[in-house]
Amino acid sequence: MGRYCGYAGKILRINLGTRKITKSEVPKSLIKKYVGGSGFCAITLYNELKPGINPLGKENKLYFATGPFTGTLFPQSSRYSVAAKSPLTNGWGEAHSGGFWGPELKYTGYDGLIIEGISREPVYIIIEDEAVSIQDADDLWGLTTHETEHKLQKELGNQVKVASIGPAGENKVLISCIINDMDRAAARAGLGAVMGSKKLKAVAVRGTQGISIFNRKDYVTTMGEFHQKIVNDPFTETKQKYGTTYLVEMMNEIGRFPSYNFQSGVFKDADKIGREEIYNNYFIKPAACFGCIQACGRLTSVKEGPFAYIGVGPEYETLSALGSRCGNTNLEALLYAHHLCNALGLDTIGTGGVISWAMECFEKGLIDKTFLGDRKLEWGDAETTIELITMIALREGFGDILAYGSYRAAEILGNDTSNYVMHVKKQELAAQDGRAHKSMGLTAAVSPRGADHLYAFPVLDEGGFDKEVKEIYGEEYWPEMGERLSPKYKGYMVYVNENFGVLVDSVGTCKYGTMIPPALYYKEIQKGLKVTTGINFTITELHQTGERIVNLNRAFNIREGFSRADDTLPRRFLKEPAPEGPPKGQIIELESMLEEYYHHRGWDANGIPTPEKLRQLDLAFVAEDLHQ
Amino acid sequence: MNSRKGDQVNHIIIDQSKCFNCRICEIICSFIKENEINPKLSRIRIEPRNEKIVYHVCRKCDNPVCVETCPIHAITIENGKFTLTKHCIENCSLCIEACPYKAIVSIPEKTIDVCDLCGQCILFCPANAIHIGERGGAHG
Repeated sequence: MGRYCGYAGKILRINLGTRKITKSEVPKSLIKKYVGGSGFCAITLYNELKPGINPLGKENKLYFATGPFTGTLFPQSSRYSVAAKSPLTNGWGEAHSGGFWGPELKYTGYDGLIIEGISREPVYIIIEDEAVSIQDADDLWGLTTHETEHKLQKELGNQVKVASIGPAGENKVLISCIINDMDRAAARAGLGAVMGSKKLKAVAVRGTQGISIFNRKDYVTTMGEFHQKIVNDPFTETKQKYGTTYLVEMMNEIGRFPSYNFQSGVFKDADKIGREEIYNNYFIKPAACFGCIQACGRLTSVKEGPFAYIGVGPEYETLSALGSRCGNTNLEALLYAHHLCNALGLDTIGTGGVISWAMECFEKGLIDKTFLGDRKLEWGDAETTIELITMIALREGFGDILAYGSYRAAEILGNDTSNYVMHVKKQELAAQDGRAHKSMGLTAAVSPRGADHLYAFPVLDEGGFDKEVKEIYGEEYWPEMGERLSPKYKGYMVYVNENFGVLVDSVGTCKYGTMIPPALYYKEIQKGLKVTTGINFTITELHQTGERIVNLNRAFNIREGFSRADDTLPRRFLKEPAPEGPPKGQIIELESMLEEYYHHRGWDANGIPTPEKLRQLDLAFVAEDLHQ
Repeated sequence: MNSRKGDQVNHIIIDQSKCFNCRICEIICSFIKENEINPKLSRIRIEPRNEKIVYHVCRKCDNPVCVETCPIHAITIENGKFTLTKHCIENCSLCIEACPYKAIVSIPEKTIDVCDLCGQCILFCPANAIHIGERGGAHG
């Protein structure tokens, strides 16, 4: 009986169809096996979502979950996970976000919130501790995420934290996202469309419940040590100054900064949209997420002109997606395009992905005039990019086709346009050209939510982390493990990283500070869990927890019909050698990496977890599902 | 009321230009003072306003409005420490409302919960934005 410290202790379940609100205790057994956050989502949705359901139908569920570190003094404790069956991939859909909403949800007294069913009319949810209600959202429907948040804070007080969808989610655009705290996005896998399909405009939270700490005597000292590890890391100064925008110039240098729909990993005008330009001309101050030391968010503004705005500016990914990938060097337009995507509730990676794909198809003359009329889609045409963003969100004209994501749009346009779709499992690739960084290629191929860089986030082989690479993976894999152009051992790297990555998403901290720089690794997570919750996880148990979650995510997809054939990459990565820069001549040697990865995973040649592996992970019930 | 006039009076000051709104001060303060993590009960609280922040913390006033407002004259301050000499009137909270700095968090039995300059927020602030300084400066 009783509950573990560090947790709020309850899960809130709201059925928007029946309007039934249920509050239930979090079983200790669930915590011991799945920890929180992503782990809770993985097991609950595996159990509750039948294979084959319509992701935009009433059977789908949307699960927001925090972890034991969310809202605590553990560094970077702002994170929440949100998951559902993805309407973009038709498989496992999960996204994560920082800001303040996740901690505030936990302070209301709930570790997680499960949304079920579909409302007949637009609604929003207010959670204020025990008081939970479903409210009419007629006057919010159609508003941008920014307007929605302002309006709700005006009505409910500015301490209320809001997660909402914009018009894109309302219109079930498959590359739509959920935005919280104005500019933090749970961006990927089209979860905005799931929220929109449920007619749920927003979730507003305000909580006064405290989080209890198990070992109060040692807590401040332990957390102080962890804070110092991040404070003293050389990375932190750069992060505080530039955020992730510092990566633009750095990635461009190693030929890993996608340009022109991944035709190259070098963008000759990278410095026009890079860290120095932003820092010198548009930067106001860092804007941290809750509990963060590194503060990579950038409060930025364009003061006047057609692109004027103020808000948290783009990260590295967006600077590529709506910048280099579209050949766009107009930085003010790029900053504004990012702001507009957030307002409309669009995933910037998916949006930049689909627009840049359309630009390449236009260049090659593959788009029939019946679709486009007189519209031109020239590289670098920032005005057109901005126009298309709104058209996608509102499903107007050509934007209605792009709203399905590039994979489905290519099915509509035909004419070999599918040859240029840069996707995995129908989701657009992030700004990580795997030809310049092989482990990143494998990561994208095997991630359960489709093309994704964060599930394994293998960044230590980018360079500069020799000591850490040897420590984490073992001296026996040196030097190839540290070489970004070598495919050797990368199956093992991705295996190790995925297990740790899902654990990070389960405890509720950020991948910055854990995966890069690896300042807080298993030992610190173990110690943090012990002082916070009182649970004595062994490192082996934590490894297994990560592996268990990865296998559940995998099993979710297998049940939906996925197999090895889906663990692949666009033809461009496999057949077209990188044309310039350090990776010139490189392709991604996917097959050899995939073999090695499956081997370490204990999956068969078709990528299916073996019964032995599943039983070893205490997932015998999954073995029964997959091997009947 | 002006018993401390002439004393050197210090209070928490946050440098606007450095604070990046991470709220670590609220996390550590609530834990130190309340034995649980609950930013709403922190004695220092940050409120972002566009590019700026407003911060709520006791300024250790010379003529504290909270003391003057109390209808039963229950609040005394000695060496910066707040004490309640009488039981509060139920549901009164006039002092909380009167404080121009929104510095009073709550009024348990015998004390008023305000910043006591323990300095933990200073140690944890990753932006080096917090210090204890004399009133009357730019931010006083």
